[in-house]
Amino acid sequence: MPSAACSNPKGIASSSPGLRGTSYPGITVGTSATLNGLRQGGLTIGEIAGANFLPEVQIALVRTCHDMTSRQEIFSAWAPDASLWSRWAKPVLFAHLDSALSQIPVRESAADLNWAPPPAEKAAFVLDLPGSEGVLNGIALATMGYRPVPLYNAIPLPYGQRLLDPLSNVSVAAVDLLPILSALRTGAAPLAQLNLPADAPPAFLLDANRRGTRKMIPDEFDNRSVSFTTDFPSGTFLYAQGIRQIILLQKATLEPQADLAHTLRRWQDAGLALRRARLDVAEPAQPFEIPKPLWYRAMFQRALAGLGLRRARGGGFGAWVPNSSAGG
Amino acid sequence: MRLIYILVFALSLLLAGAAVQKWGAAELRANFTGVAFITLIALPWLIAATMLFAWFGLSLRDDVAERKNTAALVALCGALAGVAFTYIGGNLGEGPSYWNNFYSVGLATIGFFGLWLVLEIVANVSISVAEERDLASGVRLGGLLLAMGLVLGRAVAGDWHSTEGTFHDFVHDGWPAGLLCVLAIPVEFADRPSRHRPFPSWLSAGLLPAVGYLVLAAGWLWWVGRWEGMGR
Repeated sequence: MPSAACSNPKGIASSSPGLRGTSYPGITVGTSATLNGLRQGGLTIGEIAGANFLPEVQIALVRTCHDMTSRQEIFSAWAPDASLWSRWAKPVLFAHLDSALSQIPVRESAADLNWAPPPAEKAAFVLDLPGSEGVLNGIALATMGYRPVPLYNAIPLPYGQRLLDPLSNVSVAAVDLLPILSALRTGAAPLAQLNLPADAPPAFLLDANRRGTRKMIPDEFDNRSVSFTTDFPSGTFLYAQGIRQIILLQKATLEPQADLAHTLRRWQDAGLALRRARLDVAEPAQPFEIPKPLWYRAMFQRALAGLGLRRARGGGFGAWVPNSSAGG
Repeated sequence: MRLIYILVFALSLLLAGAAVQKWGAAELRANFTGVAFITLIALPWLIAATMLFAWFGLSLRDDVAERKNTAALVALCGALAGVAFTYIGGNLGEGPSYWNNFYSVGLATIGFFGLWLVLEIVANVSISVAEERDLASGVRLGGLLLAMGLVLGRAVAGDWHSTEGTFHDFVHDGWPAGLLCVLAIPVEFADRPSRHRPFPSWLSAGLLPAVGYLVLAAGWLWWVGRWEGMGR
């Protein structure tokens, strides 16, 4: 069983990222001393998988020793060249791993997913969950033999920018991606250690908060995004790889979001069986059928879905809403 | 991958300039600024076309730059070249005004996108390229769009006489582009990825039909011969 005994390479971890206006209080998880500083407490994914925890025991996110530090290393852990599904993994969020805010602690934990079918049954998962919960549960599925495929297509608030508006105390960014970023960073090493086979069935990860909740105003950072059918393998491709069913896992609702509905309907048309479950309700996944969404299969559907969203220069979604008074 | 598209873009501009220099109106060929002007106008025209491609299901940014979709790159290069040929054709021959050039170019380009629209409505070919990422589909579509661009460009090339005359010549000489589009529909249904054949051969299902379209287009160009004023 892998050991988590190692040091924080920089010595004692700071208690706060040190930025004004931050909503992240710093590291509070229990720690213990090591030769070179504090060891951040918890168990590795390997220890969790080996210990066979009861369903009612929450699996906490852990840190392992010598976490990968380079963006390329981390992305390679999530999208190894050998994996059949890596060509769909989105690198855009990984490009921001250098940000110090990508190392904030993650407080969420994975749910009990023991009800998931074994990989041999060739089901594919779509985890459309808020924030870091998608990553955490993706790693939990990885311990069962699924390959998590991150499809996060937005960028976080640029490093150094105030997180909250000082007047309204509202988040400057439409979508808070920092917990996802942090979870991707800390999950990379345990994921790499699992040595999943190249043809492990996929678990696609989406941020359920991707479309935001409010209208953006000038000087705010609009990083709302949508998922497209082209973000996923086609139904034909999935079928050719032996995938026969899709399990959609969400939280607080069973109805798929409007953008994801197009993809699910494509898969349904290709002959894949759809099932859905809620993370917060202890019930098995139920089969369902999805009706045709608006503008289904229209050639302009993608262009239409992207209207009103702001594209980032380096790819993905995320840009400042311009001040209408700026410029001549 | 985007660099390949930029290269095709640059070559299209160069070709436009060279064609106008060789076969454009005498007034344009008389001095460099006329040729330069027509060539420069091609720049926003091709940029606008590139932006319009996204509404036809293929996006340079989303499919090529972000998803590294080779099939989309090939299809988009063919589309760009097709639009370039409609632009070039509309600028060949004598005419009293730049507006004659723009009318001819506009006519051919509208015809180009109109036929592509028909293909999309009937056969959803962009799904095979953008979602399936099927290289054969990308090659096939690229070849078809290039072929249609050649035919439509040739249909509007030649000396200007009148608006009605230009439209008449466009239909008379450009109808094979519509035939190509009609021929492509059953080919799309036969060769696109399916459960029984998820990964069609890019040679037999892609290059072969693409070459077929181009051979038909070239044959028509040979048959219809020189445009009015080409010999001068």
